[in-house]
Formats: sequence, structure tokens, C-alpha cells
Amino acid sequence: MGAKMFGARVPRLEDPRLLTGQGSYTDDFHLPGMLEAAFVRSPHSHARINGIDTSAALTHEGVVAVYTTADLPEHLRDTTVPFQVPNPAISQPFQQRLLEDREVCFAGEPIALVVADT
Amino acid sequence: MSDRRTISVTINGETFERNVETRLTLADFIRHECLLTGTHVGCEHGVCGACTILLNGQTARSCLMLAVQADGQEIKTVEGIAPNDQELHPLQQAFQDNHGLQCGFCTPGMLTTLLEFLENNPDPTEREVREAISGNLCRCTGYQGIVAAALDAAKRLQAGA
Amino acid sequence: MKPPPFTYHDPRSIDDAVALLAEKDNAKLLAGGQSLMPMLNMRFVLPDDVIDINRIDDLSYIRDEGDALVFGGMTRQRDIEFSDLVAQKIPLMKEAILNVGHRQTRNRGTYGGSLSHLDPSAELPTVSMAQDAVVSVRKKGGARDIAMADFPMGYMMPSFDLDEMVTDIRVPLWPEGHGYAFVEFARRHGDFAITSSAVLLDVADGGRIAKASVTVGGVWPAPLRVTAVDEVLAGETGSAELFTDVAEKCRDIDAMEDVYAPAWYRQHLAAVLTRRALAKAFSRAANGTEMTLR
Repeated sequence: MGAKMFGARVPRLEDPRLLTGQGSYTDDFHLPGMLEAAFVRSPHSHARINGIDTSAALTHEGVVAVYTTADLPEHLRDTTVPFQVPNPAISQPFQQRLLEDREVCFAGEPIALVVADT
Repeated sequence: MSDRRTISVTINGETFERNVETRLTLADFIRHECLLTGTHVGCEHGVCGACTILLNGQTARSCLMLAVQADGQEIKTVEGIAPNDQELHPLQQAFQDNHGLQCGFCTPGMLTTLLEFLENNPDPTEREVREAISGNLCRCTGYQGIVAAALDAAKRLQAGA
Repeated sequence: MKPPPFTYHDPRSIDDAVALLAEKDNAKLLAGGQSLMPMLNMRFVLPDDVIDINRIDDLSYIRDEGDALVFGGMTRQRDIEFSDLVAQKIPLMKEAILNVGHRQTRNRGTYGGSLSHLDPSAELPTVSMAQDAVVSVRKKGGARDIAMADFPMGYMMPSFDLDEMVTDIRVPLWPEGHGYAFVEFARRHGDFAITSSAVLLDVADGGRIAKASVTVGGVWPAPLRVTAVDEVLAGETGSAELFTDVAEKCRDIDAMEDVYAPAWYRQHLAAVLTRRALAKAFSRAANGTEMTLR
């Protein structure tokens, strides 16, 4: 790599792999015993959660586990996702919990995590 | 008990026989049953084009087809474009030479789309190329390199590359 | 984002298909899949049975009957796009089809499917309304024809029953040399139109309009034939003033309001696009004159 590389058109090394469909994106991995996860998300933009019933999901064929806030380790239950750039001008801070079990504040907020074999 | 069928689909010349749920999309069949992960899933509702494959020579959105609909049919995916392990197809080479890809996620869909397009329009204008790829979304490149690659590929294919 | 479980059927004849429709009370027909599959993937619909009609032979054809073209319900939009017959005899349809989705969706999407889905902004229903098409539907033990004017019952609700399916569409032809124009406004190429205008003009010597057909799409819950405009135009000589004045009538349409556009905007577009379409159609008519209106 010398001064002669500046301004030179350098072909990328990864292109042939990507152009022939050999890339490895997240959903492309197939590992033995691999499980898949899906989040159950709030359909409501603002709602109070009265209860979460996981019994039907737990007995569904192929489901390995269902996690809600109660299943998280204690120190993670009320942890919120930190601000990436905290700013003193923010007077109404709102930060999301990992899983919500009290009050959802946007449609799509995660409530439960289901882990299954497909 | 889920509704299942045994189907036989030929992809890039190889026949895959599998027993699948009838609700399995063709995209998921290609990716997870046949383990050909070059075909990508983006929006799953037919607007992004990442899942585009060639069904009996015509492009189609594989997320909008059921696997069972491909029973007995022939499919070509991005993995079947290069003539062999050592060489790239002129269209693919044009993409590399014209920086027509960055992350590569939209690329398989772009390639299948352009393969069909260039076969039917061997000498396109830039505008025609832009219209041809209007059903394939790219978040990285701004399309400039893709359009350049397509026009370059057209020249190469006409020259008998 | 995966389809819900259902029982899949792939009948090989129309008889078998309608027999299934008669028997199942929560079934959806799968034609091109370009509208149904997104709905299934997002679980907007939860049918117990999906009846795939792609393997029925003889449902896809374009037949010239002299005074009309007859299309089989499963005619792919791609075949309409590349048909010489359509280009020559129903140029309005050819112009409109290039606005329908993209190459990949037109390869699979069907005419009958588009009509049955009846999105208010869809181009094929709008053209069918403009051309006074007649839709044939079949059910177990019977068949009937539905004139396009009677075809839409409500928002995305065609007037045929759940146990009936579209088998073919008869599109009467306008005289050779007629003027035509399909103009639409969409946010992106290939999207459903926010508003569209489809105009047919039969122009006699001297630019006198013998017959007019003006249809707007995307404004009302179904494509709307603006008969008030048709009537005013009949017998008049085409001119910029006439077309500008008459297009303004489109502002009176009781327009839809949704996330894409408020009602007043649709009314505005209906007037503007109709004005443009009238001028374009007049220019293309054999007895018309060159005219562009913005």
C-alpha cells in the first residue's frame, strides 16, 4: 500500500461472494440445534397491561420457552435501554424496558419473547 | 396437525424433494429447506424485491408464492447465475467493476431482475434500466452504480462476453 | 410475518374450484397472489382454506370476438402488457398496465384477481369501468354476467358472492381511431394511484365528440364513472375551454379521505388529471387535434 493506491479504483474482495449469493446475513445461518426467537409486540399505541397469559404458547408444538419480564433476572427487570446521547435539554426522559409488563407506550413495544425450533 | 404436501422443485438444475407445510412461502423453502440463502427476505409483502427469483424464466417475488405452487417448476436463483465456480457471469462482473453493490443484500434480487430485463432488452436506455429496477429497493448505493453496471453489462453481453 | 395455517387446495378445473367454494365457508381464492399473499403474510386475513386456481387450464387467454376482447380471469398482467391485440384494440388498457406494480408483480398478477380484489386505486378495475366491461362469474350450478357499473358493491367489495369466482371479462371495443388516455398520480412509480383518470373519446369529423367515457380511480371507494362529464361532452366540439370546464365537475365527487391524501386533494387531482387526460385523448383521436393541458 503506497502512495500509488490513493485515488486508485480498488476492486472489493467480498464482491464475488456477495454476487453469487454466498453472503452470510443474520437469517442465513443454519446451525445444529438452532432455535428461533420471535417477539410478541403490543398492537396498541398506549395501553395498560392487565395480565400476560403464556399458557397457550408454552404448550404449542415446537415452543421451547416463553419469556416475560417476570422471567428476566431481577437486575434486568427494570433496567431501561440507556440514552445513546444524554442531553440536559431532555425534560421528559422516556426509556424503554427490555420487556414491558405494565404500560406499553408504542405499537410494537416488546412484551414477550418466544423461543421455538422454527 | 398442519396441512403438508410433498413437492419436487428444480432449482438451478438440482431437484429438491421435500415434505413441507402448505403455508410455507417459496422464499422460506429456498432459504431454509434447500439451504440456498442467496435469495433474501426483506419486507415479506412484495415491495422490496430482495426475494426475486426466476420462475420458468420469468421474475417473481418468492415471498408472494407458496412453496407448493412451485411443485414441478424450474427456478433459478442468484446461486445459479454464474456459469461455474471459477467465473462470474458478465452481469455479475459488471456489478463488481462498477461498484454496483455495498452491503450486498439487494444484490441477488437486482441480478435476477436484470438478467430477465437484459434478455428482453439487450440495448436499453438509462431510463429503461431505472424503470426495470424500480421494483428493487437498495438502501446503500443510491442506485447509480447499479444502473452503470446494468448498462455496462448490456454492452458486454452484446459484444458476446 | 408468515402465513397462518390453512388447508391448501389446487383444483384442476373450474367445476372443482366452485365446488370447493360452495363447500367451504372461510375460503380465499389464490390467483396471482400479489394481493392475497401480502395479506396472508401479515395475517390480515385468516382463511381456513386457500383455493389455488393457478393449475386450472384454459383460464388464461385473450380472445378477439370482433366487437370485444374476452380475457380469461387468470390472464397474467404481463400477457396484457405484451399483447398486440390489446395494444391495437384497447390502447387505454395498454397505457394503464404499465403503471401496475413492477415487472415481477405483473408476471404473476392476474386480471381477474385485480378485479376481485377491487382496490379503489387499481388500474385494471378503472380501465374496465371506462370500457364498460362485463364480468362473468361462475358458481356451483350457475353462471351470470355482471356489468362493470354494477360490479363494485362497496370499498374493496365486488358484488359477486363468496361462492362465485370470476371466469372471464368481456371488454367491448371502441371504434378504430378513438382517443384514449390514462393518467395517474402516485408517490412512486408502480404504487397504487392516489388518483387516476381514464378517458375514452369517440371523435367524429371536425372534432365533434360523439361519445365520451370518463372514469376516475382512487377518489371514491370504487372506480367512478363520471357520467355527468360524459353527458356534457357528448355532441360538443373538443376544445381546451370545454375540457377545462368539464374537468372541474370532478371536484364535486364525494372523495375518500385517508393517510395518503385528504379528500380535497383527491378532488383537486381528479379535476387536474381529467383535464390532462381529456386533452391527451383528444390529441390521439383520429379526428382530434393536438392539445396539451397541464
